[in-house]
Amino acid sequence: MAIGSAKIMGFKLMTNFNRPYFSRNIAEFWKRWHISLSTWFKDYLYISLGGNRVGIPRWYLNLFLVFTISGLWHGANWTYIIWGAINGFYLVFAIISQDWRKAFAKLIYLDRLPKLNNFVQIILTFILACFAWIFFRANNVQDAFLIVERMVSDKGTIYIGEMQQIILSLFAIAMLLFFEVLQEYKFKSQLPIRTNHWLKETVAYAGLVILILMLGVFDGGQFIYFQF
Amino acid sequence: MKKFGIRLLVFFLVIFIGDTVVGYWLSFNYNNSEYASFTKLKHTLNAKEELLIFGSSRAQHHYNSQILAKGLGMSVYNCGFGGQGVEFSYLQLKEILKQNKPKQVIFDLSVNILIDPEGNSKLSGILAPYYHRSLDIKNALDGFDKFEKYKMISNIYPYNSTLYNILRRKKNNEDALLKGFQPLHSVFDTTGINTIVNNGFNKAYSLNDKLKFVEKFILLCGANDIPLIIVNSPIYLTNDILDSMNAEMKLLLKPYTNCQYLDFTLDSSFKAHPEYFKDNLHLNEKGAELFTKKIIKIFMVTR
Repeated sequence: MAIGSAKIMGFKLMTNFNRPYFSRNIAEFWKRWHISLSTWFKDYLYISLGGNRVGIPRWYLNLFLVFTISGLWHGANWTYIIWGAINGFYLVFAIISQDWRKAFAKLIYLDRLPKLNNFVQIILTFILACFAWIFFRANNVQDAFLIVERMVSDKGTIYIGEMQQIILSLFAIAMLLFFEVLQEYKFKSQLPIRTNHWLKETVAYAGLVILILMLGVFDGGQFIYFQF
Repeated sequence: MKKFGIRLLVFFLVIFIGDTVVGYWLSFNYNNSEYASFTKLKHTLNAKEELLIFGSSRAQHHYNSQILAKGLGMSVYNCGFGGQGVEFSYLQLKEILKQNKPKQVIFDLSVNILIDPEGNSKLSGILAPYYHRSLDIKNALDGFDKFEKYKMISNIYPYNSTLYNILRRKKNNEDALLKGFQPLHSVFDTTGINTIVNNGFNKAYSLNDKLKFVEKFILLCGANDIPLIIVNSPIYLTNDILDSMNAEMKLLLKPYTNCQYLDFTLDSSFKAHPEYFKDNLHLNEKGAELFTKKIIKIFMVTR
């Protein structure tokens, strides 16, 4: 939306999110998530601290510091700082454990199945990112730790809710995932309904407006990351 | 430029035609839908029963219309709607009074509804299909969002997010028999209840500025000479903060002489009896039956 709105006014904005949940590791995730911010931190903080042209312990510290500070950039709250620190830890640990992980993949013959290997890496990265989001989203640190505690302790059954909501949610997730997969692996265009025929394209966009009127969310809260 | 103008015209023309056709289809199917929530809303806005019950989910799940009708010898309808605030009940009653005057009204009112910051803002989601029905509904919905009147130009928008339920076409005879009452069937698992209550009611709010629509509701009943009972129905467990707010509510309602106030929040028949509850704030079917019988007894004595 931001890219489209800016283009109407003659500005060309950079792609800020490049399907980050298809990343195969946290380093790649940060090359795809909030790219403008990551680039700024890389250029003005990471490189200023010496980047990777320093001793290894200092390099790890630089990475950890940059992510912790990027957490603080999101807001003056311990939840953001912990979220940044977790991401810094992920990144440092990923570098340290690179050889072990490769050896482990070889041991279980995952290296012989590159597609499965990629899939496993995407899922693991997604889980790690989601775990860190607990701290980002929680109202305070106590709530965040309570959520983590409840994740690993036996506290009742999974909340299922209304079947209607489950079906609609699954349908929406499947539809979004379908288009995301298409865009990631098939088309590279940002507009999947783009054709060479102006009438088809116009009708498709008008159809989208009608779909938004029918199914769009008009009274919900904003996307949590919108303020950033 | 001319080419761009033509494309823009085609774009808006397709939207206009699509919006008109799809909007008409949605409107027709919504009005003929047998989905319980849609039929209930339609019924409550035109209710002709003698005793009407208003409120949120606690009204919807606590008052067994069949038992009330049998016990009191009156026709009864439970107009309670889960998740809705006091303004919704007020609008329901206002719409009903344009066609019919009930003999008695029960209004289930609890502190959690008054302090819910989003209580009244959920109106749009439920009443949007009735936006053009009356000025009262229109003004209420316009009051929440300055763009609402522009969104309502669309024929589709009032039926936003209703498609799935429209397509279900499910006829549920049980709903018609229950006359708006919706029983809850499970029994409350009270694990961690003290924490839930203390987290839910951790701050005392002043209720003085939250009674605007309650006052309007009371005055509307008064102006139409309708006897009104305001009921604070049973709660499994309260804490000091909730008790103090319930006491404040009782005090604030005292000056309104045309309504009787009944507080069941500390009633020993229900308090700390998990077998009567689905969760801390909602009675299950068994609890609702016992509670409805208690209400009948009070009615009999009052009569």
